[in-house]
This record gives sequence, structure tokens and C-alpha cells, in this order.
Amino acid sequence: MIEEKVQHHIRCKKGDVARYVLLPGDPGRAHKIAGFFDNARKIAEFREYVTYTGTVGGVPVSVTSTGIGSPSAVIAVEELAKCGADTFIRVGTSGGMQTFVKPGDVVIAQGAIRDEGTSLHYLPVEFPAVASIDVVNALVAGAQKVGVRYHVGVVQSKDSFYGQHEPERMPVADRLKYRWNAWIRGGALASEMECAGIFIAACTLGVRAAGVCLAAGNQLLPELSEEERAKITVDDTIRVAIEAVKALAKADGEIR
Amino acid sequence: MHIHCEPEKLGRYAVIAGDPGRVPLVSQFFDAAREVTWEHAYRVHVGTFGGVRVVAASHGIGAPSTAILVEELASLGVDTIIRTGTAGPVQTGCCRSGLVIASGAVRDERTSVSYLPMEFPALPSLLVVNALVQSARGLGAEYHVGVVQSKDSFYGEIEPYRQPTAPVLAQRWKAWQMGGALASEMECATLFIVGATLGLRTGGIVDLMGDPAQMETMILVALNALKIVAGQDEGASTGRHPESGPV
Repeated sequence: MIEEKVQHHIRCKKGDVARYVLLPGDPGRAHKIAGFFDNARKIAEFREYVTYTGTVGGVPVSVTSTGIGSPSAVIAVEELAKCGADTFIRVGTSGGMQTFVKPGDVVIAQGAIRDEGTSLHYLPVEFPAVASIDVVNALVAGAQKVGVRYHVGVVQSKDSFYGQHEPERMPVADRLKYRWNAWIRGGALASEMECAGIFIAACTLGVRAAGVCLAAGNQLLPELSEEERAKITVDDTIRVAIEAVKALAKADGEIR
Repeated sequence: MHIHCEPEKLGRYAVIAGDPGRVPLVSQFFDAAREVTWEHAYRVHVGTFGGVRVVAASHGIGAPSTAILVEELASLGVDTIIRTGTAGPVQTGCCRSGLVIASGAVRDERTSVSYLPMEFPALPSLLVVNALVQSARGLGAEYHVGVVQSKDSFYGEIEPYRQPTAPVLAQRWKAWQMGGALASEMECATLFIVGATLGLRTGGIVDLMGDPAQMETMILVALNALKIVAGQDEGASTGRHPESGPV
């Protein structure tokens, strides 16, 4: 499956990227994450896809931004896999869906609600969007090492940001609201937009994937003050992902 | 309603299986095993395993009767359930023998849709999956971790050509294979989804057409996993979400 040629959208080729790849949505966050690497070098920048490769604790690692939503995220996963990557960690932001998920907490996605259309081009909707247990456990170990408050479970991956934030504006408002409440009653921890697509594409490609998201806010809780909001950063979420890469590299025999 | 247990103390931990005949195969490992009830497909034994109070119960074949058992065990105070089942292999080149610990289940059934929309993933609890893996390793069992397919029609799987829906069945089976599913069985998806709505901790382990010795190993893997979980519960001092980290 690995190809020699430069990939159409991410503009990377075999040898450009490590087997471990972090996947933020925001290109700006790809630059930020590269700042956590040693010897980071920019590989490519085209459309929403910004790729850097460097090392963490001696382990080669890459970051590629995916843009917003599953359609662009699975393009990144497909093309990175063709460059030789086999382990993907989405590093994102999300909104808490349970009152115990406080802004600033980290949510580790063990599975995702397929509330999007892209993954249906891969597998029927009955198939669970499930993360790799090895990568999930590495993220849990990472969260414990970083010392951040974390939760493990299901996230909702939606196609429409404003369908979540302003459902009353949509002609399908009733459906949006009843489904939102169903996800909460099923125990969903946080709402985001890419995990389901990434997990399902990964299942069909035979590669590993999981996700770690900062709970940037929570619409069930009182709004944060400006001061409180300023304290919430994605830095610890990035550190959790980096610790997970180190743990996986050790388990995979890449480093001692 | 169906399992006719008095609201007695069953404890928190249960091993469930389809066949009522498998209940004594589980409870043979209990101290002080006792039959509580046997009506319909629902046979319930209680006892202790390694000092932990455990339930062994049967749910019959398929999602509808499984959902009833899970609901009623939960109403009697059970909060951790592991399904031990039999299954057929899905892959052709690998994973044709041994045990499969479910990391998720294909919702190829319709009972769970009465609980949550189809987009919701049927997932076991991470802590139960990890306990099953630890337990299987400890017992030296051959095991794989992966997705299982939970179907409503047994003969739709083994004689698909006979069904008017043959092309659809064949196409979907191919999709489960290409998605990496490892085992085909009939109840895990229901257990995981009903469990999610009731706040239960669930897991599943299935035997890929093994012999009686492997069946016994699977049962011991499940019972030891419950013992591991019970040990962790004892260590947890607060009532916080069991899969949340330090505050």
C-alpha cells in the first residue's frame, strides 16, 4: 500500500513522515505542536495540510493538520498511510457533554459516534468507530504522567458545528436536540468533529488510531469568565499525546 | 419481571452466556454455588469466586432476550457484566482459533436501536477489556482483541445464499471482514449499548468454535477478570467516574 510518489493533498512522500503522526485540525496548531518536537522541520504546507517531522525523546514523530471535519481528515489519514504512517493520534479540542467533564479536562476517545457522513463511504453505520486499545492505553498512561484530569470513553463526531451550537436555527432542530440528548444519555463525554472518520478509515487501512481532546468548554456548565478561559490551553493535551507516542515506541520496540 | 429473582443481593459482578447449560459450567468454579431461578432461557446461579460475590446467568439466543436479562440484572444491583460466548471466525487469513476479547461490536441487530441511534458505537468498558487481557495473559490463553459482529440471524450468516437478501448479506459480510472484525456472534452489541444507557461496565469474550477445554479457559478468563475489576473497585476510595483520572 505504501507509495513512492508525492501525495496529492498532503504533498508528502514515503520517508517524509514517521510511523507516529499527531493529527490536529487547525494548521496553526501543527506549528504549535512542532514546537514541542526536537529537530522539527517543515515538510509541506498545502491547503489545510501542514506537516512537520521531528523527534520526541529520540522517537521520530510527525504532525499533520487535517482541517475541520471528517472529509478532510480521512484524506490526511489515507495519504499519510501511503507514506508509511501506521499510528495516528487526533489531538483536538471539544465541548464537554457531561457535567463532570470540566473545561480544561482531557478526553481520551475510545470510540466515536458516527454522526457524520464520511465514514459511511467506508463501512456500514453499524460498524463501531473504535480506537486502538493499545493507543488508548498509551494515552491513559500519558495523561497520568502529565498529571492532567482525564476521562476515557465515547466522543460525538458531528458534521455540523453550528448544528450543535445553534440547533434551534436549523429546520431539523427537533431531531438535532433529541439526538444530542440521546448521546448524553448514552454517556458521550465530549463533542468534536473528526474522530469517527479517522477511526473508521483506520480500521479499513489496518492502522492504529485514537484521539485525545481538550474539553475547551461545556455548554451544560456556567459560562467561564474571560480570566478562567485564558487559563485553558491545549498544551497539556499535546503533552499527553507526546507521552503516548513515547510509550508506544517503547512497546513497539522502536526505542529501549 | 422475567428472571424472577427476589430483590436479593446478587452482588455487582456477573458472567453471562447464551446457553442455560453453560451456567453450571461457570458456577462449578464458585464456592457455595446456588441456583436462584430458571425460567425461559434465564437461569441464574450465585456464589463467590476468589472471595468475590458473582452471578452466572443465561440470556438465551439473540439481542431481544439479552436486553431483558441485562436490564433485570441491573435492576437487581449488578453493575459489571462480562459476556462469555461462542462465535465463528470472520477473517480468512488469521484469527481462526482461540478467544476474541471484544474491543467493540458491529450493531448488526435492531434491539439496540430501541436504546440509542445506530451511529453510537457499541463499546465495552476499557477497564473490563484490560482486565480480560490481563486475565487471558495470566492463564496463557490464545487470544485476540478486536471488533465482533453481533447479528440477529444465525442462518443468515451460515447459509446466506438461501436468503432472499443474499447479495446484501454477502456484501455486508465482506465489509465486516475489510473493517477487521474478528468474530461473528449475536449478543455483544446489545450488552454494550444497553449497558451504556444504564451506566454499567461491560465486556465480552468469545470462543472461536473451540473445544470444551477452551470453553473452560474462557470462563476462567472472565471470572478472573471480574476478580481483577473487584480488586480495583476495592482500591478506589471515591465514587467518581471509574475511568477518570486524578483531579
